[in-house]
Amino acid sequence: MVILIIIAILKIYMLFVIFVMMIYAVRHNFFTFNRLFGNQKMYYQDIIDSEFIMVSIIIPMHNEEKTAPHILDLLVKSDYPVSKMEIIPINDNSTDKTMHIIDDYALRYSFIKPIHRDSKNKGKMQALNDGLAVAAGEIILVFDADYLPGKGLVRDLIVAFKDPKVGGVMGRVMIINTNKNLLTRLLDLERTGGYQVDQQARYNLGLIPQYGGTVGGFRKELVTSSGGFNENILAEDTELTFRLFIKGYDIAYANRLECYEEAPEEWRIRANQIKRWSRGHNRVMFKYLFPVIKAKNLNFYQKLDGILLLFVYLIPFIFILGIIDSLILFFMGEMNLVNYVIIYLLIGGYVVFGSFAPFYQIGTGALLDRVSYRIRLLPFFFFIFIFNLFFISQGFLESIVDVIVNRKVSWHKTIRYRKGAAK
Amino acid sequence: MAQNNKIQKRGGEMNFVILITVFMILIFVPFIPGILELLFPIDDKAMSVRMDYSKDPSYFGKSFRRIMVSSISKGEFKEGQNQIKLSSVPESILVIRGDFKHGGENFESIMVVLGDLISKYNNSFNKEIYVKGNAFFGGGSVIRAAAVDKNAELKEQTKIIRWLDVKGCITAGEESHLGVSVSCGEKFQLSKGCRFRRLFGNPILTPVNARSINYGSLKNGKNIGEPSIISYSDKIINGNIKYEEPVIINGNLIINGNLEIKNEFTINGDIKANGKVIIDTAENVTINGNVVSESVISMKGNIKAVGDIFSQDEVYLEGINIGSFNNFKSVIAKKKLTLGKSVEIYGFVSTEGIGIVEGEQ
Repeated sequence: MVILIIIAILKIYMLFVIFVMMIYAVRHNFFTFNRLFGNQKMYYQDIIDSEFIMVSIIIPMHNEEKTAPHILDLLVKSDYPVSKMEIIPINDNSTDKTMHIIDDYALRYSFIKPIHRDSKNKGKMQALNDGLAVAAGEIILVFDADYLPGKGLVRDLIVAFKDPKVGGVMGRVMIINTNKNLLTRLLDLERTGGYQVDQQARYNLGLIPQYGGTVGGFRKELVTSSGGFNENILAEDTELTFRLFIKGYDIAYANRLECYEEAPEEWRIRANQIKRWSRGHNRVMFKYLFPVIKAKNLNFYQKLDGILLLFVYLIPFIFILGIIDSLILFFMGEMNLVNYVIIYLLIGGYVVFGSFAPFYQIGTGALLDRVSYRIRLLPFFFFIFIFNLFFISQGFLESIVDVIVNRKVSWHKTIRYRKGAAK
Repeated sequence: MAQNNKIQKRGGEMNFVILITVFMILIFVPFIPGILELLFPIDDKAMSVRMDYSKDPSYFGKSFRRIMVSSISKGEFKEGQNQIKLSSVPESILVIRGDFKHGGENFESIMVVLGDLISKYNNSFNKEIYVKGNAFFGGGSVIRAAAVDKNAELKEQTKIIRWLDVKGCITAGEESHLGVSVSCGEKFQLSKGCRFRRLFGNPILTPVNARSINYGSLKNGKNIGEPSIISYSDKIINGNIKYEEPVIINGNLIINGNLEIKNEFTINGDIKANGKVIIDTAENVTINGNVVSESVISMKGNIKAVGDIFSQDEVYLEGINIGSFNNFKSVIAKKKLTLGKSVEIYGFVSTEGIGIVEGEQ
């Protein structure tokens, strides 16, 4: 009797996994078709306005001697008026030459106002909170130190805030070290699908485009009025996304506002990165699932998209359990009910969750970006699929421990590979 | 019998091995193009980002003018036909050191006119032109692209294919097609039936309505008699709003619905509506902020707006003043932008769809 109940539960779980995958497959297909054939929502970048809002650009830096001069050089060349801009590089416990570099820039440019943190409480959220405390800008832009903003980027990001309902803005991330190795090439494709298709479609459809924590910004008051960033959540960007939407604000996605970043060149560094993302994102899921469901300012579709977005980093774990489930059923000789389903489970899972942007999104993104040859690498996403399943699931389990024991989290910076000067 | 079984078993094993081998080959096949791309990359460069891009409505004119002025100052051009290398292929360039007067001809080379350019009817300038003086284009002329240092006058049905950048004033005749982008540093007078995509002027003007209205005379709603005064602090209002009585609003007005204004109205803040924004009143309306809508914006009356107008759909404007001298604002409409009578915009107008100056109704 007990065995029969266990078998029934295992079969129901298997069908549940298939159902979840189908929902995500429909969602991503819908986004892809919207991007190809739907009405494309315009960003605000065409606005020319001679009145400028005061902006503070915060750049958290921990041991960024390789990248700090590049981003500061590019930001001082920005076409945003310096009287309306301040740059706040935050030296967060660096042990290299970061402090000297940013101090040198501060001597040369009065609008560069560095902060030096030597507190043991280091991390991006902590640094951002310190930056917010001194920022004079009505709008805060955040860049990671490895980013290379173009001359007009600041102005074009800020112009979104002419819309009073826009609480945050997000530009498009492009990889500069694409040609390094297989990993960077795959990450480049992943970004193409994720931004060119997924983010833009969500913006088109009035759903939940995501603030990504860099190449983006927000209204300072909306964050400071609710106590700044939560220092125990590693995904402050996702947390802010949901905070803004629940309050009734929008995030504007600017597909044409592109900014280079440096992608991890080593698999172990990438593993740590996605584990951190998963850990932080799932913490946000625990915190915001019910507020999203109950939110008065979100419509049905936004709630649905918000919930699916919150669950994104839980799905690989559900999927791994699905595989284990199928193996148990197989060895119990109970696969007759689901022997065709298993094929869908494996192949469908590979297609739908092969990466952060499913295959058809990547293909469509490459088509829209007019970079057709590189999609020949798509089959290699099989390795990313397995890789992501493992490390995202690990991040999910860590986030459960974070919630249960309310433990303090620590930020591990992604290693930089930069050589030579930015152009 | 036993031997037969052995042979059958061995045959079965062979089939299994073949099956596995074929399966492995088929699994491997999709990776072949990728392996070739990794070994002999042809598409491995970072996608291009224009690091020096900075928004400028006169961008085309400025860059073309810069090249021409530089070549002239270096004394590279003689009177008459010359060669210039703008891209990979050298192109012919016609240099006229004085005024240029022609009619009914086609010009196939780049032109530099150091005096005034006076083109009679139906000239076709199929390459870029740089005019140091004034430019007068007769009716029916076709101009690919032109940079003019003084004023430019386009007679009726003139057609700009790409861009026109003028440092002084522009007067565009009736039914002119204004190409992709037309910009000027001073007054830009449009006529009925003009079609456009992007315009920049200081200001852009449409023909004045005979029943002329006096926009801009208000001082933050002080003319309003006994208005309701409402203060919002970014509260989001769900549903439609219609103001039929005089009202002053302090703060941003954010609506998940339509907004309709039918009487005197002043707002000291921005307007954002997910639905339509319709202003249709003979009374004074002052908007001390931006107007943004996911739907249609129609503003008709006696309106002073100090901010930008932005719609994901269509915009219709009539009897409105936007921005002020050297304080530029923008009117952006995704699908269609119609400028009616008595429109004065200091700054930029742009649409991805059709832009048109309305004719007589």
